[in-house]
Amino acid sequence: MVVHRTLDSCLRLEAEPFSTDAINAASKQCNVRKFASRDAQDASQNLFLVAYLSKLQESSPDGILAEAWVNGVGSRAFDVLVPKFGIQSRVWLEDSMDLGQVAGVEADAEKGKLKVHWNISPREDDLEKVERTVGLDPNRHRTQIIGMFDNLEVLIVANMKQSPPSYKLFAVAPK
Amino acid sequence: MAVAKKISIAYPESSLLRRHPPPLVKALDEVVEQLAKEGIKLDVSSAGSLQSSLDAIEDPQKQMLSRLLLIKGMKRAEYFCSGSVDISTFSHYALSVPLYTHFT
Repeated sequence: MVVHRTLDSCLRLEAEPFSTDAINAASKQCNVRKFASRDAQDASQNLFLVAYLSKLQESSPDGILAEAWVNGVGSRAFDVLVPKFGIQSRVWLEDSMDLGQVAGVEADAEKGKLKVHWNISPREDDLEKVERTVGLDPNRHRTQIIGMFDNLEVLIVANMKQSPPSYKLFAVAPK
Repeated sequence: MAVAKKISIAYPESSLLRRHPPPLVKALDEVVEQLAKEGIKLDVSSAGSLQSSLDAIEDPQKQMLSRLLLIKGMKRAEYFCSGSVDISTFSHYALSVPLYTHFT
């Protein structure tokens, strides 16, 4: 509306309708309101998402398994998009290590890959002979190589009891 | 756009405009490097060239993921007063225009 009035005065060749300070105040207020409304929208979407995930979790108490697309690879974590729920999140391998599921990780920054050594026996038909450089017994671990754009499974654990409600993603050992 | 031009010429110190600062060069370069490893070449010389190189990614999954990566590095568009801000920062990156405001 401010812009409409400004244009109107301008077309009538009048002197400036608003002072610099007034426009400054107006633009600050517009920004504050707009960002606040966007934040409110995001919070509302998040609330409904976690409520929905919690409902699904009733029949799957350990968490919800879902397909995820890798959107970033770090040295101790990787980023994913879970297309089914529209979730974008970081998955920390530390969490899997704390649970005793993962023995260790190795990062290959040059190739953009992350190797995850799971505490389960390797598959009989492991296609790739993986070099273990962290002193682990290859017969006692299954190695997962995570790279950009890979498709893998993650476990989503929702928590409605926290404020704000949240969810956490965990890595899942490959079959 | 036309409105933005008209009012900022008439009232250069007190026009309510909207701008979108370009993404940080460092953040953008990191994404370009990451994607280059996967065989994806992005032309970041302008918003337009960036859009074209994104559209050129054939695999729909890779295209979506690449866009998401870039969005993370973007800044938010904001309203500002023409008299209070350096004129070199007036432009709107995503729309690729030098001057802009909300009118409708």
